[in-house]
Amino acid sequence: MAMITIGTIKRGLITFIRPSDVSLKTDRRIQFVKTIIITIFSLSVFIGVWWGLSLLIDTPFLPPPDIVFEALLDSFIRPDITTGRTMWDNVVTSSIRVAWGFALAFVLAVPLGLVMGFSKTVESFSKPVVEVFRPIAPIAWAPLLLIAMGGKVGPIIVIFIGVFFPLLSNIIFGVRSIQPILMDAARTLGAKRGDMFIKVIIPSTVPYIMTGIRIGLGIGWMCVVAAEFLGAVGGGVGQYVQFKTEVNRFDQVFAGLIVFSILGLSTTELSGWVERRVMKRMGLK
Amino acid sequence: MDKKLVIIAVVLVAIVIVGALAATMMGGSDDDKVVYWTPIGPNLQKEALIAGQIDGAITWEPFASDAVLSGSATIFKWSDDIWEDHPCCVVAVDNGFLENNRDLALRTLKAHMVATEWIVDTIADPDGDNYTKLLQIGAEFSQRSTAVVNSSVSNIVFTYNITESFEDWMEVITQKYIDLDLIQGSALGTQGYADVEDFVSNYFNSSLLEEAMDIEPSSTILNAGNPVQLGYLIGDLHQFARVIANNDTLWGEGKDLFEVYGVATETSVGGPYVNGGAVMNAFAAGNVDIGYLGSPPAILNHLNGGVDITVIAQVNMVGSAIFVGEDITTLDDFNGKVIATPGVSSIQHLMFLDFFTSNGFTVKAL
Repeated sequence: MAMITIGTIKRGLITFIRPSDVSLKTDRRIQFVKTIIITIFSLSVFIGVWWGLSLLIDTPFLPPPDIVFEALLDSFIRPDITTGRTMWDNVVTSSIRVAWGFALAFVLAVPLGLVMGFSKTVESFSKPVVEVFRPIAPIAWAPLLLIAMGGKVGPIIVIFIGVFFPLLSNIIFGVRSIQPILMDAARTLGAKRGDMFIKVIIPSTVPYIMTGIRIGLGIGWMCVVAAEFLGAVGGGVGQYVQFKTEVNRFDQVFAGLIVFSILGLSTTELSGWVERRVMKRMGLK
Repeated sequence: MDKKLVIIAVVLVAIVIVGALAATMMGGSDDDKVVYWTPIGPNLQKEALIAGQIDGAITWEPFASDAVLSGSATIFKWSDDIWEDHPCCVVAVDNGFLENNRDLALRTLKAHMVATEWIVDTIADPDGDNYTKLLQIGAEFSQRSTAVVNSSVSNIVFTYNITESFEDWMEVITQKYIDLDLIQGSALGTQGYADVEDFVSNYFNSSLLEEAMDIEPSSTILNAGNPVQLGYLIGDLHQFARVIANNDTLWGEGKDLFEVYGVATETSVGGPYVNGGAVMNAFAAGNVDIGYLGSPPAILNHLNGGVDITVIAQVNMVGSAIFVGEDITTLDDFNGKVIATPGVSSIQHLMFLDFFTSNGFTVKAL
């Protein structure tokens, strides 16, 4: 019989901790500290290599990290002379663009993907059109959309296209992956077509939707870079990088790239966490 | 572990929101006059004005005259009224090319000098036959009418000399870029210059002009099969000397002026270019041997990007303008308006920044 010890007293109830829980927590802490140490080491090695290369190559195209970090800090503090905006303004503008493009894609791709996966007729009707557009790289749309829809709406539509297709494909795949036994069981229990859709298909597809969201957000950030490079209106980190490239301020170009990296990483981490939480809640992990 | 990452992500998002709010609140009072700018190539600015996308533009000739003569715009200010007698475009040579092909560089330069003199002489005699030819050649190159070319050439001063006044201007422009932080303070030292004066006296090299003076025409092409790669801007009449030198109807025997001096040339890969920044990028990529471009991009991208070139001649002075739609008649009318510029590295953009900031405007990108 496993030994138990008194853990904490909450609202008058004594909770007990099994020795295995204690060791699990300790293991996790050790693992966390280990990961932090490795991450710091990895980043230090990267910065060291970067520094060494910049000294070795000695070209303006690869400024040393200290100069880049100085430019990065400065970009957040002082409004840029060419744009009148700080990096904060640019971050907010790019984030809003990604959010809009993503929201549009989500609202359209989720119902369409569920229906296409569920109904052969809808799939037969939609698939040819979807398959014609799906292989076109979203960035290829950017020049046309920026002219046709302007510098405000155009970038959002580019992001929408970038997010829409991976999300749609994932949802269709999710619907197709539902085990037939689940459908049969639901039918046996008297579920009608509508019930099957709401109570079996939608819940079963959630993990695939979540994965699609995570992938889509990553692509969304790539698309916003391209769209802002090509002529977005209202600022944005991509526009900042573009202008700085034109005047060869490579320290500021790198600062912009670091901001993109942080934004992309934060977004995908956040969506990854939401994905794991949802999966856990649904008992899938 | 997951929770910690989420905390980091949430903190980052919170910082972004707080920072954005702070930036918005500190972004100036409502009393500030703001003028917005957006980069649009000169060849598209008139159309953008007509379409209502912009309220005006700062541009070079022939695009200023074209906008005015089409009835779509009026000139708010000529560049000469903003910066009196300011220099504009220059001829630059790739230093590697110069080292290995000095004779070709000098011969190309000689053709540029002769073409410039031909333009100056021709403009001085508007009743002569050559003037009609000049207008026709300019119209064909710029895809604008002869009336537009006629107006344009009257607003441009064509010259090739690197004068003391030119060097003074280059010092002023370089210093402005440093003050605006468009050039890093350390860039001069990184590129091996002691200060702005040292940079200007070395980077703008008038000695090749002196050497080229004595060059005589050549009966043979010295670089057949390996033409000099010429970079220049789309439809820019500032760089008319290059157009005239490339014309094979003016110099006899079906040769262009570069060929008369023994040099085969061709438009470089990716050219003609939309602005001087693009010419500098083409220099950096090794696509251009000799290029026509604005002096500011030649300064910016050499100091910031280490593009290894030397400026060997002027091309023109003045000849740019701010043109506006009907909504703008006074300086105050620019408040809240959108003005197109050819790009952040152009002299027109620097002039735009200088003009509006010195008149109490906050300049913002659209």
